[in-house]
Amino acid sequence: MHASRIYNIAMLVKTLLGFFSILRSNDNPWQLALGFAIGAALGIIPAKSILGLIILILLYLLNVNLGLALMTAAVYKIVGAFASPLFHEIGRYFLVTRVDLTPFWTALYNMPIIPWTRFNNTVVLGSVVAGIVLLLPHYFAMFALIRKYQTTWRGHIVERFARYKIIQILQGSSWFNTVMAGITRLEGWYQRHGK
Amino acid sequence: MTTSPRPSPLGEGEISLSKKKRGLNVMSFFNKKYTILLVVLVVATVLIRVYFLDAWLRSGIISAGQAAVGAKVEVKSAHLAVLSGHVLVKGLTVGDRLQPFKNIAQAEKIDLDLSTRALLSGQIFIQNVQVSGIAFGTARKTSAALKKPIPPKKKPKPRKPTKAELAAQKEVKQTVAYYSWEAIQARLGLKELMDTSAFQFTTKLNKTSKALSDWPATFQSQMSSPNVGEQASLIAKHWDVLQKEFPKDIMKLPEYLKKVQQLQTEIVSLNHLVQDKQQKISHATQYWQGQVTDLNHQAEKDLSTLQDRIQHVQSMPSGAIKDILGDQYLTVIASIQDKINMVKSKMKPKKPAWYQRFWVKGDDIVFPIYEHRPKFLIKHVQCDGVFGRQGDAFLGTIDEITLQQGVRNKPTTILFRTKDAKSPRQFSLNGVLDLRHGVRVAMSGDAKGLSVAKSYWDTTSIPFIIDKGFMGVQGEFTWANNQLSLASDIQASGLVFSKTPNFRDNDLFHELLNQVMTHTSVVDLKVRFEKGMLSMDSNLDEALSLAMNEVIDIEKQKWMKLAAAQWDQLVGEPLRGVDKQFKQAKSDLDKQWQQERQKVDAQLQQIQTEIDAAKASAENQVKQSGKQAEEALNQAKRAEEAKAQQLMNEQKAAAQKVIEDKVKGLKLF
Repeated sequence: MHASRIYNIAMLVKTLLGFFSILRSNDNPWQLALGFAIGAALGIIPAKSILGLIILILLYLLNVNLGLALMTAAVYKIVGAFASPLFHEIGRYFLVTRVDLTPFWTALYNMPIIPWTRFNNTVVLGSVVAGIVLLLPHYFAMFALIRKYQTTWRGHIVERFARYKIIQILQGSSWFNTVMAGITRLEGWYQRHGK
Repeated sequence: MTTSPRPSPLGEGEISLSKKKRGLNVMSFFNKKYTILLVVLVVATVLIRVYFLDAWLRSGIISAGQAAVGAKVEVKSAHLAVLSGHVLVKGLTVGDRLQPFKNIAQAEKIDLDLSTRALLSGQIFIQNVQVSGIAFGTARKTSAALKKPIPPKKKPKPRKPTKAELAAQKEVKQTVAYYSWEAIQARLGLKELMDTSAFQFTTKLNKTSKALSDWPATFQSQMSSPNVGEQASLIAKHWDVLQKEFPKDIMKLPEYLKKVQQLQTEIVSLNHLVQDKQQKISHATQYWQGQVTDLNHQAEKDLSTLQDRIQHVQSMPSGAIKDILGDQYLTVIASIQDKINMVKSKMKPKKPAWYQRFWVKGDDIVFPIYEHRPKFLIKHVQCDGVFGRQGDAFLGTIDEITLQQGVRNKPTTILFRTKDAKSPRQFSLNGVLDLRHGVRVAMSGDAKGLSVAKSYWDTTSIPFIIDKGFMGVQGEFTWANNQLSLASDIQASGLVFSKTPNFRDNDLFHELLNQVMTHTSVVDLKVRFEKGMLSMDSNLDEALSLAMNEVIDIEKQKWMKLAAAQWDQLVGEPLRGVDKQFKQAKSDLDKQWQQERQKVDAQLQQIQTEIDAAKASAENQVKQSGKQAEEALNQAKRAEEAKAQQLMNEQKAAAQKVIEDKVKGLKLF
């Protein structure tokens, strides 16, 4: 199996296993919520657009929760693939149906750098629109959820789950930590040699 | 009921609230580590551009070129002005992998203006490209061979061949076996042709050869009884005895002569024996002569049969060629056709994958680019240089290289022509690629007196190269609305071909090609393809026909040579052996016989001479004795006569006296 594929799987496993760790982390709720919102946009917008790269750089530059962002991006990538017909229709509406916008698109098309975003592709534009439109709702919804979790649900959940034997074993056992440490080492190795 | 503080929509919790009191810290929004890294990257990129971009461009051109051609690519200098988009490459030479001391091509200067603004907009717009000082096949001072040859790409692990591949491999094996010389020989019946076991000569030869080898011994044993030499010796011995017994008494001479007579009879009978043996030898020689002649006749007869068979094969050249190619030839062609169909069927669009049913790629909507430019455009390319061994200077321009010709409503045009209009070697090439209304490709060329001498092509698998000659080409090629039409005339004259080391003497097809080449110093080929109909007219069919005849003749000669060699080995050689054996035996026998006969003859001759001498001596002696006896007889006769005369005289005298006395008495009376 190719090294990059192993790395990707390992990262996904790490992300999933770390989901609750993220929620339990001491990051501010806005960091988590913004990470989620930007990750969702990153997942929705196709990688062939330069916008994807810009968002990725932004993700690293902003002080947001990177783990949650990447995990969200992975999930939304799948969602985005299924939603591509919808994005196509949205993009088609703006690019083709709305004739009054044509001069605007033409101007953009002739501007430097902008055409690299591939905005003239119906799916790309549709996904960008969807990503932008969903950015704030994602942020606020996630912010509210996290606040609720941190203030109310966490105690209940911890209390309820702590009763379960399996959770006690998991928390007490060293294998969980061993697996996580192994994945971290694998990540380090891949970054040194894999690429 | 206790109420917790309501979280800020900006995401600031309890901790943030305390910070808010001190004012909003913007930097808390950024990850300092990554921000610094980005700034460092940007600075490094700028520095790299300033100090290393040209060197990178140069080494990039060299390494990409070397990877492509497998030989040294050299660039004197390369410069890229990022802001203006001007690219200048000087002294580009591309080495020849096969001839390390030659360049495939070289260009003194390549100058192009790339619009950076267009590039930032995702467009490629090159206003002008100027390639000057193009030359092909120039000599190099240093070898173009790479010191470290580019490592070949890692071979993928051999996978298990598919059923179709296995079938193809099997087919190839069968085909190779089918076209092996042995198989062709079998198909041509050459083995049967050379099968001499059916000829009677072999049987006869075996019999004659064995008998002939025994002949001298058998004959000698037959000749030894009675032995002539021994008999001659016996006669000689008898004669010796007789010689010693030569009588001194003449009275014994008749008896002696009688013995000599007897010896002479023996000699005569020995002579008869010799003659008899001579006759026997003669008869035997004649017999064996007849046998050898018979053998020769049989050989001739068999050879004639063989020649008839060869003649039969020769008389069916088309059949022979068909046999050489075989029915499998047509099968191979059919299988190739099948494979083409298979490839065509594979080229049909595949069924979309499961995820493609719901995954949409989207449509790229094209918006007009200002100044009526397509997304990719090379507006003008200008070339100049020389080509060929004669160094004919040429000029060339290519305009409007783009696939979106509709934007500027201009087709792509190509024009190459000889620079010197007075040069005896002229060529011009006009091409138009028009994509505006369907696809229309039109190429028309006109060339005269161009040297077609071999210069740069790879001869690793070509059995022939063109050493010299001249060529003229005229034609037009059009592709429009999925319809191809082609009209071209190619004329080449004074072509001289030579064989490369790849030529194989035993390869029938190479031989055929050789003959085509040999009979083709002038090539005239007219090709027309219009409305789906292809028509060709050339003198190549004539050359091919001649070549075919020539090849058949050569093959005949080969067969004849082969047959003659085998015949000579199987028949000629034994026949000559028998003939030699016979002649040797005859010669030995003759020699031996002659020696013996000479000896006997000499012996007999001597004896005969001696006998004759003895006889003569005896006769002389007898004659002398006779004379003496006659003389004595005469003497005795004369003495007797004298005595008788005397007696008569005395008696006469007495009678006289008586008478006288009587007369006297009477008288007295």
